[in-house]
Amino acid sequence: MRWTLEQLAEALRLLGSLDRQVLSALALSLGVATLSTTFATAAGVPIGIAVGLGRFRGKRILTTVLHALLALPTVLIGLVLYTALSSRGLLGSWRLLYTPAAIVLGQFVLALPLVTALALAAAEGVDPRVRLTALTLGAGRWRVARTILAEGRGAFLAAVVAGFGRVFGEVGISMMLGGNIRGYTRTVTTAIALETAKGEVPLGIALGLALMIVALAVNLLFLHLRRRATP
Amino acid sequence: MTNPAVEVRGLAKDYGPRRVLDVDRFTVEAGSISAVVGPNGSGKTTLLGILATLEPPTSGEVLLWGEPVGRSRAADRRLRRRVVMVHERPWMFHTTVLGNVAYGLASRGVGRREARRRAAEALERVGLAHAAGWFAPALSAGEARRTALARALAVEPDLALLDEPLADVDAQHRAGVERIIRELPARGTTVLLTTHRLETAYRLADRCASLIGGSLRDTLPDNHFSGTIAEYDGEPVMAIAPGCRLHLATPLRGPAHVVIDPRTVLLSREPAHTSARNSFAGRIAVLAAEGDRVRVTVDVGVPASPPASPRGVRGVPIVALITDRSFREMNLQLGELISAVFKTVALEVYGGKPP
Repeated sequence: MRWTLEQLAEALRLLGSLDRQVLSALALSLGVATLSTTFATAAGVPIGIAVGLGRFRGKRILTTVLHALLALPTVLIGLVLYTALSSRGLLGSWRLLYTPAAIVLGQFVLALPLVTALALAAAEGVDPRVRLTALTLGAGRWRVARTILAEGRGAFLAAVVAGFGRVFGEVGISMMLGGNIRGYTRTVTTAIALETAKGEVPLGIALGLALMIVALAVNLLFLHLRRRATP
Repeated sequence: MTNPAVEVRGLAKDYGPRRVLDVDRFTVEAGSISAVVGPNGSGKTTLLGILATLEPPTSGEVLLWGEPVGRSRAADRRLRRRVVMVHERPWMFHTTVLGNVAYGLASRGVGRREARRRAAEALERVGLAHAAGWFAPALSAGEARRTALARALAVEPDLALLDEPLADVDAQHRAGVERIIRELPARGTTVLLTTHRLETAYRLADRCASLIGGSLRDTLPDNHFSGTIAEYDGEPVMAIAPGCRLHLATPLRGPAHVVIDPRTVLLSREPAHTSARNSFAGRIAVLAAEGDRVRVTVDVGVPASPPASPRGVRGVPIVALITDRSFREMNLQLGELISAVFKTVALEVYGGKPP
């Protein structure tokens, strides 16, 4: 018990002193997660709306595949992309392996099915009158899509939050594609894994607390936005 | 029929195995106000949705101003810009009332300032100028409907399809909304509206059609009554005029339509001593020969004082179709007092809800 308290006290001291290692890992984690979520949103939300509103053959199969992809383990995504990005791999010439860009790519692949599936559900959840009203008032396809996005903004925002949450806390992809290089590709999660394994438990706890605080803050921010979006 | 804005031929719409709409022929003359009367669930909204090109029919043809719908995407879009539909429970976009009304103008590339000016004008017409800055989804049902009307009229459509335009509108604003609708033809807008109330159709429309169970008749059927089924002495009844209650045999209650086949209505000089539960005394207002039959219109529900003129219906018309032979045998005369009698089981009830 005493040991635990000592570790915790040391962790709080590290956190309070804004340890450089903690800060740099946190900045990288936030940076890659924000980028990958942004890309996943930019691709997933339009796809979700298109599929959600479309009536076409194979829609059910597509939706099923999408939901199956939600269960994709991060380690598997890491492994596949590692093979592709390694110097003799298919995309080896891009020289991305062990860079923050590789983490962003991996996290994008991780978040895309989730954001798309939730955006699809959001689009289907928007009252059918929204589309009909927009159409009868003369809106073209783009304006209809924009209107649906605006009217269902709370649910679409939830899709983005879920995507962010998924990538911000993942460790498999960051580890395998980033390589946990100190000051370059070391994210909060990979740092926790490493420091704890090394016996630097206070640093691990400090990082964990930082991760939790930031995740909580981001979620509160989104919750606030959602409340404003859905009066 | 010289210049139809809407022409429908052999239109059918199926939802799964269920046929919800079956319209052989239907036209709406340009510059007119037409009404389709029918109970809830009779296919009125589906019909308007198809005419608004929002929904494709299962089969059949729709022509708007002589141009067939569904030929190409671009052509449909062009037609859709001339038509606007106002839904029964209109959706209010999550923005201000003014923003809602300006939506159609913005969709047509009208500049922001001009769109706001015209939207404000449209709001003025429906008496909601003061609400321009309000948050639209928070409006009451009646206000939302008037906003939706303004939103539709702001784009100055050639054809306005109004689904139950007067439901939810409070008594204070009903006259205003009716006036706006009546003025539309003069502004170049043809109107097709639906209603479940016969009075609304009669008051507003140049032409009425009835839609019951998905099939459309170009005229209102005889003996079509709309009202509310309520309990009276433990029995379901519908009041059709002061002191006139139809006795019904139905478990349903609430707003409904009742249709009586004129062939099942008997005429009797004596107060009827029969098993028929429905007997209404009135004067014969109209006599019309139809081949070997005679259509007798009995004016019921009129106060007892003798009518100034025997012609014309002042109360509620009940029509009986009898053979020429019984007409001659009874020697029926215009203005004569007579009872219209029919059995409760001969009444067809549409609409209504289980209690």
